Amino acid sequence: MKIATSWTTNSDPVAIANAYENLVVQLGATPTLLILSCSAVYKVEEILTVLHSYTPQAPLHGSTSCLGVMTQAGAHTKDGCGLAMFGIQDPEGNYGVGAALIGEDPGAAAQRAIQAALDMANCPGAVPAMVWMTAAPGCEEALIAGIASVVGDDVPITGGSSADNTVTGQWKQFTQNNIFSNAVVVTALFPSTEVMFAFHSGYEPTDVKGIVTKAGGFEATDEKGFATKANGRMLLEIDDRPAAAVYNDWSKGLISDVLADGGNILSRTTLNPLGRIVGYIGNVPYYQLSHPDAVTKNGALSIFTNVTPGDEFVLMQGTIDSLVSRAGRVASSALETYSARPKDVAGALVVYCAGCMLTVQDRLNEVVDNLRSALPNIPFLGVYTFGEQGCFLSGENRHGNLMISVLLFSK
Amino acid sequence: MNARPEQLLEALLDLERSRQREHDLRIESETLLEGLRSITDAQDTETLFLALVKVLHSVIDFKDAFILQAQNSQQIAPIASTSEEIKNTTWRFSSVFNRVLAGQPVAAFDVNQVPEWIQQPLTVREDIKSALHIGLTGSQQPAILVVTHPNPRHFGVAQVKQAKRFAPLASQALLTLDLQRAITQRDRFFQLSLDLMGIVSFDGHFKQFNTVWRDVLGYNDDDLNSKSLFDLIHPDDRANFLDTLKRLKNTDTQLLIECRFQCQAKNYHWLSCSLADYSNEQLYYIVARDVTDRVMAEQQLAHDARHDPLTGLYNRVELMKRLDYALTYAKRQPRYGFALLYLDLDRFKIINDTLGHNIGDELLREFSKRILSAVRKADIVARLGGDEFIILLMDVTTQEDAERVAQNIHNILVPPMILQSNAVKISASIGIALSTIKYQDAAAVLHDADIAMYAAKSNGKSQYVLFDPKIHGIN
Repeated sequence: MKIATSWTTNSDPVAIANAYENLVVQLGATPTLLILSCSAVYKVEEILTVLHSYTPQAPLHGSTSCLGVMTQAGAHTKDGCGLAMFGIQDPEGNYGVGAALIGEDPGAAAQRAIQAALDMANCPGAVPAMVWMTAAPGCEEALIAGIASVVGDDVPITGGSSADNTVTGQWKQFTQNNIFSNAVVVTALFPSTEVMFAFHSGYEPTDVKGIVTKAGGFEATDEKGFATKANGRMLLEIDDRPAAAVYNDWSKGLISDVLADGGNILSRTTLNPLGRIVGYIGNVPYYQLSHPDAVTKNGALSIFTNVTPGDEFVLMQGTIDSLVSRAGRVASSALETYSARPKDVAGALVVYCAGCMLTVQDRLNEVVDNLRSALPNIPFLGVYTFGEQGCFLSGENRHGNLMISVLLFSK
Repeated sequence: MNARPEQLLEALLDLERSRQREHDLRIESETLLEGLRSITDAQDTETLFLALVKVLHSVIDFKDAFILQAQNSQQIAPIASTSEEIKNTTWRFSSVFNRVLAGQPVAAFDVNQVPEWIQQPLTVREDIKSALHIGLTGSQQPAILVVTHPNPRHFGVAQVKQAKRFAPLASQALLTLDLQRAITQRDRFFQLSLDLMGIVSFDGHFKQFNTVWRDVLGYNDDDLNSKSLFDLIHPDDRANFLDTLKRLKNTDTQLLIECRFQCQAKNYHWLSCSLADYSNEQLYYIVARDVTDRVMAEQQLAHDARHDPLTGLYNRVELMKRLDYALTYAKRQPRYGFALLYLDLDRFKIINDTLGHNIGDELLREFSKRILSAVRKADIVARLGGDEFIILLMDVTTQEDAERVAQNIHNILVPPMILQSNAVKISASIGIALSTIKYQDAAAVLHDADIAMYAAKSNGKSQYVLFDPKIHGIN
């Protein structure tokens, strides 16, 4: 198992070719699997043309990332332009990439995609060690369920929703042969070595006085309620009151100026998302986050995750500093959980919420430094996404917002 | 720096995750180890298989199980199964099995998509939807343990991880069984062998030996356990044997040696021994074959080639060889001399014709004994054929010494021989040739002695005549 990364902030095909050649030189061979992420300003057709000239049939898993990417060499974005490649050289492993248009039935699309990935990996019918997924934002929960319906519930699914620079739907998903804007791309990984992962929220409940009021756990805050009417990703009411008003009360007037007429609240809610307890490790609960991005005119909250009546929400709280240090902490957590040492790691994939990235945009180098500190001399690719998928260690695959997902490949 | 609340929460979660993971691992490991203790007692494949199934069942839920073992590079077949349908199947290697044998357990969520399973008839897989394949690398022949379940997606990543922990232990159990089997087979060969086989410590004491030692040498187990191998070896051969053992230390290969071993009955058997030295074990390995009959036959052939079959004396060939040696030595040592006495029995033909060949032969044997009694051990007595005999007197330089022997022979022939109740009087005519530097070869010496013998015959028999070149001619 050998892993290398390369990058460029130049969209010129020659620069992309140079990046690929650099990757191959580091690997000493053509990659067994190539994961490529770039900002949406890149012309993906040109990228594929360049790659085809080198290796027409190598499995490629591609997606767009918000504004740029990061690697162990730094945060790579220049005028909204940044591209990085993550190459795995693992002749004894099996890897396959599959894709499908999401269409009307996201679950069925995910099934087709994972089936194609397994076939390409030459492992049809076999349970992969891990699934890496990228999809257009919107129905990630259904996609995860679709993948699980094929390979089983306990296969870890990690990835991030493709993103663009302006939240205008310019995102792309692509494979070695196809380019999509509303598809799911999955890679079935059968590596010859172990994979390790961690999926964290990194936020804290807003009020500590409610801790441990329910059996086996703790109530994170007084500011909680139950979603009573929900419509997909539209949170209509909490505790029989308009959701936006409840959120505004909980956040002490954070969105009071848009309550009447509605409006975008994405950037101001990054540090105060909604959380749901999705499980317990021992007696300690862990949370899945939902990022409110807009208030509707009828007082509902639009969020980036599905919500159903009966879900319990907690107002969470984070800080700029915590967003800066989180990626490194999640990487360390993945190592600690598996009792691994950095020298055992060949490479890492980091999924970092684009919303968080935009909030700490001026301190991205510190984010990279924290990752480098946790993963010294280890190549990694970090992507900025509009939704994060990961597997909590107690087993559930989840889609969340403002999350960080780290996937480590051991040597 | 003080940790922020969310960091404390994460740290707590990490701690809980690690603690839970370690707890799960410990419980699983203890369960596996406890079960595997019973596996090591398994004496055959079937018992081992059932023990493996039981252990695996304690950590993984499944319905049926079977072990496939490679028949060749392409095919793999069941050697044990809990399912009758599986027992008569044959499988071919494809991507999944190759991956499994490379050390990666593979869970199949749907066997009907797996190449190896698709090759099987529907009847085999109609009640099987998912399977877990675990490579067992301990055996000489690669093997795969497969467990199955009627539900799809029954086995997943968790079971693959459990299988990874289980595989080395199961492989070790399979290896142990293989080794036990190999030891049993070796012991059988050890006892079936027609050769003597043994393992001996560097001080010569037996560590192991097969029953052929008893059969060939007559010792029982207690005898061999109390004896040193070196004590069994003929004293004349022991130094050579020990020297061979010394040479073993400087070579990587075995060495061969033939030597005599004493039997319980005190006689000796010739054993051809193949010896190897395993210094790291401080042991010699010995495989020996009883070659007594062959050695005796060879010795007999060698004796026959040099001796007269009737009298047991040296024959002409051996005589000429010895005479050549004496001549060569005499040339190098001027003070050394020898004498050749050419004897021809007087009136032997008449005795033979009148009393018969049997008595004639008996006479020749008795004559041989008498002349042997008249010479020293170092002297050579040979029969040329018929009634002609030669005595080669070693280290004789004077005419008197030679004539004294000749006279002595005449004296011992005076008493008649009693041959089958017949008293037979015999005499011999003797020609004597003394060694001189003029002799170039053995034939010349023999020729001169022959001339002298005829002179003795001409002079009236029962005499001896010393060859004189002035009288009898120059050679």
